[in-house]
Amino acid sequence: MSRANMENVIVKPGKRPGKRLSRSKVFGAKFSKGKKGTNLELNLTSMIDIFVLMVVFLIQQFSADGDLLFMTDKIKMPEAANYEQIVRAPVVQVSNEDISIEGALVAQVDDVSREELWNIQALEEKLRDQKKAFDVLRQAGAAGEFKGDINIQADRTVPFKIIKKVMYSANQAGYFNINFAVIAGGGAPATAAKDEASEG
Amino acid sequence: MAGVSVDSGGGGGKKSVDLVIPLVPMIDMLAMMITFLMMTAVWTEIGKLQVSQAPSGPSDTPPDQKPTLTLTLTLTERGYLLAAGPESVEIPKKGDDYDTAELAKKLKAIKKDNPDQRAITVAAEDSVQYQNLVVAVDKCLEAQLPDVSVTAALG
Repeated sequence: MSRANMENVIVKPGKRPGKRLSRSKVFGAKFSKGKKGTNLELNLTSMIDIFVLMVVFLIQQFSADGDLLFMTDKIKMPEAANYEQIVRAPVVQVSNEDISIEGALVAQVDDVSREELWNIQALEEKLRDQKKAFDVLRQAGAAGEFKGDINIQADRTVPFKIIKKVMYSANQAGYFNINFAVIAGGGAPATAAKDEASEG
Repeated sequence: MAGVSVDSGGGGGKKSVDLVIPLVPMIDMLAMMITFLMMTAVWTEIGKLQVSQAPSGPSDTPPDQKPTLTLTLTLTERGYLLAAGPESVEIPKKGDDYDTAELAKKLKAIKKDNPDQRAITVAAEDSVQYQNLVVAVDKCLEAQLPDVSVTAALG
């Protein structure tokens, strides 16, 4: 027997696929003897496309307005559709527990609710101090004019009795332009439109 | 590294015009921008509803304004009470909620009859929730009544 014939007869023991299986694209690779390539190519074009789209989307979302108010879990602001852009002004926060100005606690809601007087003395004093500080800065050459703006950031469930006292105190301290801080939303008009449509 | 090959039109001794765009710093910059923008993104837009306290608040209306009717919207436990001059109409609650659709319709009708009307006074009882006051002010602004004064309801 020639050497070539011997190689065909004597084979190394082990798994051996049939001819059909070894030709299969799916299972045939298991039995291939050549080494696999270890180079992996990243699809850079699609990755950069995604990155650019994300950057454009995030730049559209970017806004500095959120820094004007301190967002807390205690205060869930109401929604409104016909709002204007909020401006920098002293912020009075009213939750169901306490009243604070620029993050500094001035009164407890329970105490204010029990009080017969309309004004909240501590709040009024703080606001007067802020107005004085503004006047001092303006005399020192700071730009801007006192417009009497004040932002009220109140929880949606706070009773009007408290809001009324906050507004009155602001008015007494010389802040006449009262701004209710709201979350932009189209909820109210959409409901109205739906009702109108159902009527029509 | 990505490369752009520009055909030089042949010729063996010519300078290579291959241009390599440095993608790594570009990807770094995009990744940094995405991180920064994600950290600083504001997902909730915040606005304001400007009101004044009746009757002493300043008004943007010109002094030679034509006389208009006295328009008052009162929020009570039972619903809205809309008074336009001598006439008044009550809009009762629908279940537990205020009937905002009906209020919007009435306000628009008043504005249509009185196009020069800009001012409205919103009065509320002590127990009325702030959310309902804001919705009422929002409806007034929607009906082109921008000079909203807020006061306490009498009685």
